Amino acid sequence: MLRASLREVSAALKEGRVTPTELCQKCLSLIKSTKFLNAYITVAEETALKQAEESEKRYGRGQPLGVLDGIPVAVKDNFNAAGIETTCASKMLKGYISPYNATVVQKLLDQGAVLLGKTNLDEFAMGSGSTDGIFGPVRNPWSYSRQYKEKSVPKSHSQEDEESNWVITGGSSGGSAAAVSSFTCFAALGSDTGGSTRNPAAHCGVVGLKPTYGLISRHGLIPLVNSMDVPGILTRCVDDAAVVLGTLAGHDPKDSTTIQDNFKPFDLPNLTDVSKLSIGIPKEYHAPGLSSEILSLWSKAADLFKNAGAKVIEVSLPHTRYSIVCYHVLCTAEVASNMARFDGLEYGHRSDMNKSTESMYAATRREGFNDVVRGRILSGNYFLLKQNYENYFIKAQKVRRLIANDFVKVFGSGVDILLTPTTLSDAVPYMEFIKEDNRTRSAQDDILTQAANMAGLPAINVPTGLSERGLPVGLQFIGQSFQEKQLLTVAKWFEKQVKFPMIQLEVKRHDHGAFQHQKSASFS
Amino acid sequence: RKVTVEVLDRLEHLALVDFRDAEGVERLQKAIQFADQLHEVNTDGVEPMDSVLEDRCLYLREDDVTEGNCTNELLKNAREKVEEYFVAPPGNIPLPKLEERETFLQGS
Repeated sequence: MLRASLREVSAALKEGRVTPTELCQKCLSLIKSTKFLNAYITVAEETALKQAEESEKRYGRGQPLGVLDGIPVAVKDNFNAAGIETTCASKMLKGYISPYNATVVQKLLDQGAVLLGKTNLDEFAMGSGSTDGIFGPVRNPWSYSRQYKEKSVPKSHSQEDEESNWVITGGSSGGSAAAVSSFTCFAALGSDTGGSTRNPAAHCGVVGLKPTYGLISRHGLIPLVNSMDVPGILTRCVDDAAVVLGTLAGHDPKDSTTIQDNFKPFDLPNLTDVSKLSIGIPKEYHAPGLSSEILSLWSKAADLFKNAGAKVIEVSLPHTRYSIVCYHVLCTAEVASNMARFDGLEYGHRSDMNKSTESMYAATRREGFNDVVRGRILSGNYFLLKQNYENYFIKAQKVRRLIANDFVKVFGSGVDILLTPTTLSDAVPYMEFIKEDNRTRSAQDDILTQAANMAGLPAINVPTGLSERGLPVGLQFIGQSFQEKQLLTVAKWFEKQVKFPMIQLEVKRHDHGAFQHQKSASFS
Repeated sequence: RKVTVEVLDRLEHLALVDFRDAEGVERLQKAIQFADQLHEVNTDGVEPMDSVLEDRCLYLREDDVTEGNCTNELLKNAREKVEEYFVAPPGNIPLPKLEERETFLQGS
C-alpha cells in the first residue's frame, strides 16, 4: 500500500480499502524503522494521527475534501508549520515553534493532507548534499537497496563496510527526497533555489518539480534568495506532482511575487503523439565532469524522442558556464540580507552576551550559524560594499539577464522543451562527498540545475535509469514560463517510456542498539 | 590581490558575523576569486535584472488590516521579554574596535 502512487492510494481511501488512520500509522511505523536514514527532523505523530482521524470522519460522511484528503505528506524544515518546531537544521532556530503555517502548508492541510513531520536539509538550505545541518546528514535510501548492494564490490559483508558505503541524497531537500523515496510519505515539499529539489530527486530516484517563479507562494518559506526561491514538489511519479501542483499553485495576497493570473489545476493528458514536439538539447550542458553513463543516458533519451517522431535539435545557451558564478554573487548578496533578521531578539537562539545590542547580535550569530552560512553572509556583504557593488552585484544582475535571454532566444526559435542531465554523476558515498568543502561541491553540483532558477523557468527531474553502481540517475526537462502543463505532459510521456525500476529497499530491524541481521523485511 | 584587514574588519561589523579563523578568511578570498570570472562577460548595454517578473505589475492589496492580534503567539518565541516588549541590551554602543574585541583578525 505504501508503495502506491498518491492517486492510487487516494482512490483506495475513497473506496474504503484503507482508512486514513491505518495509512498514517503505517507511515509512522515505517519512519521509525527507517530512522537510520535521518530523513526527518521532527515527526509530528500526535497531530498527524489527529488529522488522520478527522480525515476518516470526512470519508465516513462521504465528504472528502479532495484527492489529498488523508494523504500522508512531509515538509522540508524550512517551511513554517504552526505549532511544530521549524529549525532549518540550524542552531539559530532550534526550539523555534512556528506561530503560523506557510501558505503551501496551509493549502495542503486545507485539502486534508496529513502532515507527518519536517524533513532534514542542509543548514538554511545551503548545500547540495543534505550533509551540513546540525542534525547530521541524510542517507540515501538507495544505499540500502538490493540494486546498490548487488553492484557494490563484496569485500566482506561486514556491517562496517555497509556503514561506510552509504551514499548521499544530494540536497538541499535531501530529507524530503529520502522520505518520498523510502515510501514514508506520498509527497513532500522541498525548496529550490539552485537545484535543491531536482538534485536530490535525481539521486533518490523520485520526481522533483521546480515550478515557475511566481506560481507558488513563498509566504512562510524561510527565504534564502528572494528572487530565485521556489517551493519544490517531490513525488514518486509525474501525475502525483501535477496533483500537488494543482493544490499549491495560484496567487497569494501574502506573497506579492506570486502572479495574479488565474491558475487552473489540470489533469495530465496521456500523450501518444510527440511528432509536434520540438526538443532542444543545449550543448553547453555537456559540462566538464559529466559522467559517461549520464551522457549516454541523455543521448538515448534524445533518440527516444527522435524515434517517436519529435523534432530533436541541438541548441546553444552560451552563458551557461557563467550561471554558477552569477548565482554565487547574487545568492550570497541576498543571503546576507535575508540572514540579517536572525539576531536573537524576537525568535531563535539568543546569546547570553548582553553588553550591547550589537555585541549580543554578533555573539548570537557567531553561536547560531555554521561555517557555510557565515561564509555566505560575509561574501555577500563583500560584494555589496559600495566599492564592489557595481563590479560584482550589478555585474551579476546584468549577466543574469544574459542567461535569461539565452532561454528566451531558444524558446523563441520554436523549441518547446529542453532536455538536459540533472546531475553530473550518480550519488557519491558520503565519505567521498565530505572531502571537498560545501562551496566547491555546490558549485560543481548545481551547474546543470542553476540556470533554470536564474531565468525563473519551470524544470523537472524524471528518474530515468540506474547507474552501473545500481543508483538512480535522472534527466531534467526545462520548460517555458508558466507552461507547467506542457512540461509535465512531456515528462509523463518520458516517464512511461523509461519505466524506472522501483527501489527494492531492505530494512533491517536493529535490536538492542547492536547491528544484527535478525529480520530482513524486504519491500519489493 | 588580498583583502585588507580593514575591509575584513568592516565586514565583521556590517555582517555581525565573524570570520572565526584563517579558513574563514581564505573562504572569502576564494569566493572573490571565483566571482571575478564574471568580468570575462561583456555586458555593455545590458540592463541589470532584478526580477524575472519585471514585465509584470507588482501586486498591491488594499491597505486594510486583515489579521493581527497575535501578540502572545509571537512573544512565545522570544527569550527575553517584559509584558509585551522584546527586551534588548543597551543600544547605541558600537561594536568594540578591532584591537578591543575577540576576533581572529586581531592577530593579522
